[in-house]
Amino acid sequence: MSKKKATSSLRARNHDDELIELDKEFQQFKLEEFTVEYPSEDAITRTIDAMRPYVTQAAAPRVKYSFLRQLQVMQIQPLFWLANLLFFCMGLLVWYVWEGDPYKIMLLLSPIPFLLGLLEVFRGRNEGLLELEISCKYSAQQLLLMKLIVICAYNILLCLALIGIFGIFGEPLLLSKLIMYWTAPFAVAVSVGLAVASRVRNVLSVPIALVIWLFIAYGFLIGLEHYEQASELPYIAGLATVFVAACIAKQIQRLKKGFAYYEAVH
Amino acid sequence: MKLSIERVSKQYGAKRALDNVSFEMTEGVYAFLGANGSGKTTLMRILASVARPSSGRVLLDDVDIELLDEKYRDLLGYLPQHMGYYKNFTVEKFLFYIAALKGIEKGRAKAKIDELLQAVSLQEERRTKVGKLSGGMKQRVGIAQALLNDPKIIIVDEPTAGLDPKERIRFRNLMSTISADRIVLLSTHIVSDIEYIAKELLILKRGMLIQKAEPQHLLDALSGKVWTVTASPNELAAWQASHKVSSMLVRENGTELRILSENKPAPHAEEAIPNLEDLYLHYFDEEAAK
Repeated sequence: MSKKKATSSLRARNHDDELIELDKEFQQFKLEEFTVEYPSEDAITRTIDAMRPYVTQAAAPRVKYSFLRQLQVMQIQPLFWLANLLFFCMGLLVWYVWEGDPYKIMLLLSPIPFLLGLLEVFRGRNEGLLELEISCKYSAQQLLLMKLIVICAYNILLCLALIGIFGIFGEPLLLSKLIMYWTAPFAVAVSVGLAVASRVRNVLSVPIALVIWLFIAYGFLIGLEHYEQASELPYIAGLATVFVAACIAKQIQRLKKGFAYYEAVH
Repeated sequence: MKLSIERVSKQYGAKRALDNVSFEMTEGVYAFLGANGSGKTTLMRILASVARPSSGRVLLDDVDIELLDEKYRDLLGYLPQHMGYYKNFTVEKFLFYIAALKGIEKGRAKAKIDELLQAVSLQEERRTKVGKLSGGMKQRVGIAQALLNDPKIIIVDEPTAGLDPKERIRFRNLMSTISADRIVLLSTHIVSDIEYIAKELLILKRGMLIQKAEPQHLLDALSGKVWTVTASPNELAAWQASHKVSSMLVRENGTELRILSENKPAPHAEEAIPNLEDLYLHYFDEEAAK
């Protein structure tokens, strides 16, 4: 046995002896005869209450950001969905009953769901809740993007439904004319709406955007009536759509950045 | 848990709202005391991650809160000084909305909302629209939303504004109870709200942190500087012109003035035990006079 092992064995024996001695000492105190009174219910409750703040809480289950969950987070008002369905029906009615031009109907009505949706997108800011929303886990930036995506998707869905109905029950619509009468004006309306809503910080932003849109739509109608036959116009409209879409992406990026901090939007 | 503020400054154009503020906080209640425009709200916004410092940084357990981002916001309960509400939401729906923003699962949110509505005495108003609530009730909804996610850091700016005395006491007790394992940071003008619960007082003046100490320590420093004097009605104006008067109490034999003075202001003046209102007057004389 090495010297080191012998020393450690000796230490262990000494420690055992000490414990035996201690045990004998404790036995002299006759602890087994000592009775502990059971505490009252009140005392137990008080102790539990006093300890409660120190108990580590189990990690709370976190939410999976499913699409339905996101809709719940966004709290888009039912009025928004209904108002836009109404515009959709109005478009059908004008086309079916009054035999309105489907392209002009698309031009005038297609951006309205998005423009009305801006009220929902900026509702937190307009109602003074933005500061709180920014401080939450699901931040105001995420809310802004989610709302924009949902509103745009709903708008495009309604437009495609209209185009589908016009095409199936009437004459098929030409893609080149749709670019001139739908995508280009729609992109311009979205860009104007975003620009107005990010500058006018109250509920008036949407009526203002709608009025501006009506003027722009009138301009489009006049212009298209004059130059509709120009063969290069669909290409110009297509290019304009891409350019305005790029501007919209930039606007959204800037808005997103702004919504990260309260002072940027106040 | 340690929240450190390191040389934080905030500039709004030409105005310096915060000037090189540094301090540390661990679990407990911390109270900001300062006059309007002292930088309290700016500092609270920075701590609540809704504003960004122009320079300096905020660290939670030595990690920059900008890097923690969502993880930091997950630990946060914030009540802004001026908070809007979706007025057509019921109290319950509003709290569910905030719970969703805080990423709380629906079942757990429901249980927590029940618990908090009871804590702020709003069980009967749960289906009332927020727009129909009184100012005090709205403030209680604000307090409830701040606590929805069992936050580890609670930042409440003027939380007792609009609350009646009974509700203020309930709020104080609530903060005191939950502060054992949390950092609670509150700002107020009502000094009695923090008298018994604040672990430390942070005194801000013109964007600078001029004191950070236990309330008793600050009060001890005022010892021997607070006096009471009984004056006749025609002497009142002269006393007010020549001394800092923190309070006046009309008694049978005249008006008892509470005066802050380095020296005994009159032979018949009696030394008084300093309180937080005296402390406020001591630091914010001009603002208090306004």
